[in-house]
Amino acid sequence: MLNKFLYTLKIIFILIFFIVGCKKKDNTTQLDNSNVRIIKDIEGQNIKIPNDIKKITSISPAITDIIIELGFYDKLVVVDEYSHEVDASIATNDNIVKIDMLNPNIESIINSGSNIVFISTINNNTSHFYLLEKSGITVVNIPTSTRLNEIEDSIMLVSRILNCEDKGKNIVDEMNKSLENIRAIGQTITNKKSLYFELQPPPNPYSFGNGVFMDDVINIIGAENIFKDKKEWIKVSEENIITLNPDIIVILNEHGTSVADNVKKRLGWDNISAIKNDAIYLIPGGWLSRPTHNIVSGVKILAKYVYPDEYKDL
Amino acid sequence: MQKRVSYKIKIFIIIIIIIVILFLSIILGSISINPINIINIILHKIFNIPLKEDITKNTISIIWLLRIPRVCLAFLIGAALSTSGCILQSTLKNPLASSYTLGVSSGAALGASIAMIINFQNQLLGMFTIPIFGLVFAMLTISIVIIFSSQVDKQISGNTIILSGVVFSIFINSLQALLMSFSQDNIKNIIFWQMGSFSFKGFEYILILLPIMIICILFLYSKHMELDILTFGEESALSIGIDQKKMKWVLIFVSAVLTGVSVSFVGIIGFIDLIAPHITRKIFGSSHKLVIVASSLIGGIFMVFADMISRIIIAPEEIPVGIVTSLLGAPFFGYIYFRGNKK
Repeated sequence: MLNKFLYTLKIIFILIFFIVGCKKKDNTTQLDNSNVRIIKDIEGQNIKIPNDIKKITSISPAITDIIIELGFYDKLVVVDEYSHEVDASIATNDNIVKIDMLNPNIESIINSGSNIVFISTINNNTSHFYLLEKSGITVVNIPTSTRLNEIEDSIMLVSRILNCEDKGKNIVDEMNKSLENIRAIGQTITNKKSLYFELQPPPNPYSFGNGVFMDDVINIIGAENIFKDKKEWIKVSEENIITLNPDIIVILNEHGTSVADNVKKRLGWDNISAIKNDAIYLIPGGWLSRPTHNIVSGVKILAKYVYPDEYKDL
Repeated sequence: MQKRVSYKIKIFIIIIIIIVILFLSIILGSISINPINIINIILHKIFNIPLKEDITKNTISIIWLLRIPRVCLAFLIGAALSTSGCILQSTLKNPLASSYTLGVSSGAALGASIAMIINFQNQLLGMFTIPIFGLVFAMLTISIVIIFSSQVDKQISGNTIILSGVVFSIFINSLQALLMSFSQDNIKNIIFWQMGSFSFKGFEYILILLPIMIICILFLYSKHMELDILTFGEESALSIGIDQKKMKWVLIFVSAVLTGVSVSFVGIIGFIDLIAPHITRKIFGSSHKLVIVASSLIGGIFMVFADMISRIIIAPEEIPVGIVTSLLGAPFFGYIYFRGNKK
């Protein structure tokens, strides 16, 4: 009798082996070479892009932003759950499937008929997407821009992939022109105000040092990040912030509307210049936290807030 | 004679349930696909039977590249976790013993977190980088627990091992929390990994896991007599000439390999290793010759069922399977365990 149990176990294992063993090479759908172009990605690797991009999946709000700006809204069939922040109509558009960003539903992507999927470093372990490639879908990883000048590279790569390089160049030129205007004014500012940019409130305040695009933004407008000596995204302490005594506090407005009042009530913060001068500014998350061409709007708003006189003509 | 007939029925029912749950799990998903088409795709892939015209390439990919490997993987992991739990409960004579209480999952989670935080990239390890890190740390942890227990208690009682495991688990969990607090960018990824998922895993994972699991389960099965004797007591073991200390370590280590491999590849999935062996014992008694094999099958069934629930309940989104097993498992285990005590 017991042998029958063992027999059953063996049968199951053999069946699994059999199924695995029967896996033929041809079940990996390869792109037909006559219908593809070779493009170099940001890291210089060759990627095969289908000539005829029928439907697009984007699992990164920043890439969705770029795709829409390039005029490919109608080709979007699957996006991540946050992409509606880029364009509110996505939320109500039944033709666009919304999926989780960290745990994207691969079945939905394959079923949508997308022949290209844009992912980014924001997605959970990009190597997971190999199953899409095995299904014959092109997967392009556009690393999230960490510096302001890298946004240009992302826009140009997406535009090359979507075969609309001229349009991409126009967007980049316009963005760079606006940023240059701001930079020109910023360079004339001698009274550099110190700025604390809070990405996450206490008890675990989170901010950034140099080497990230948000720090570039602060420098462009002529202000100074209080954590300019630190590197990249950092956990900071309230004692640090109080000691460095920022002139301005900027908070990503993703934590509720009563944030400014709560900041003023924080213990020991009452002597900070920004609190004394009521210089707390809430900025919508997407304006500065999403590294795309639309960052220009956020930079302008921040510039006007920190230096209203200098940037009054923007 | 009566007993033999009842076993036959039980075996028959388990086999039927396995077939039904595997097929049901392949049928159900975020995208609805005609069951006849699914059978056609499977037969086409195995026996090259022609495909119906209405079957698209996308449907084939969903069934053959996503669902079938996923269901097989869930069954394998369920079988491995359940077998491991069964052996540890018998070896340590504690109904709550599992590789999780021995620090295996904490070690795996620490390893996986380190791989994610340092963003370790290796051409050779490729997509298996995180699992390999997890496995190495899981095995390191259980080795430390075993060495520590043998140093502090020469008798190596089950309670010493479990307590050592709990102490090391807490310590390692704290190390992991410390790492996470310094790398907030990775918190979501780490938490997501910890909750367990069978997503994104193709046949490649099965090819790696299957041989390890077969070897471990068959090895443990070959020790069913020793396990029966250990359950009766240490004196019985000594009188028969079994080196019970050595046997304990071997059984614990092989069980830890099963859990370590499982959690490293799919994340932490709890309760299967507690529920399945308990239910198995209630159905099949206490003979390990029967319990080891049956609990692996029942564990596989439970895991496939939990994964199916995780996929369909809020489709197209998924609930991490570890949450489903805990949500269903905790009350179910409480019911089974305390109802037994009441009697």
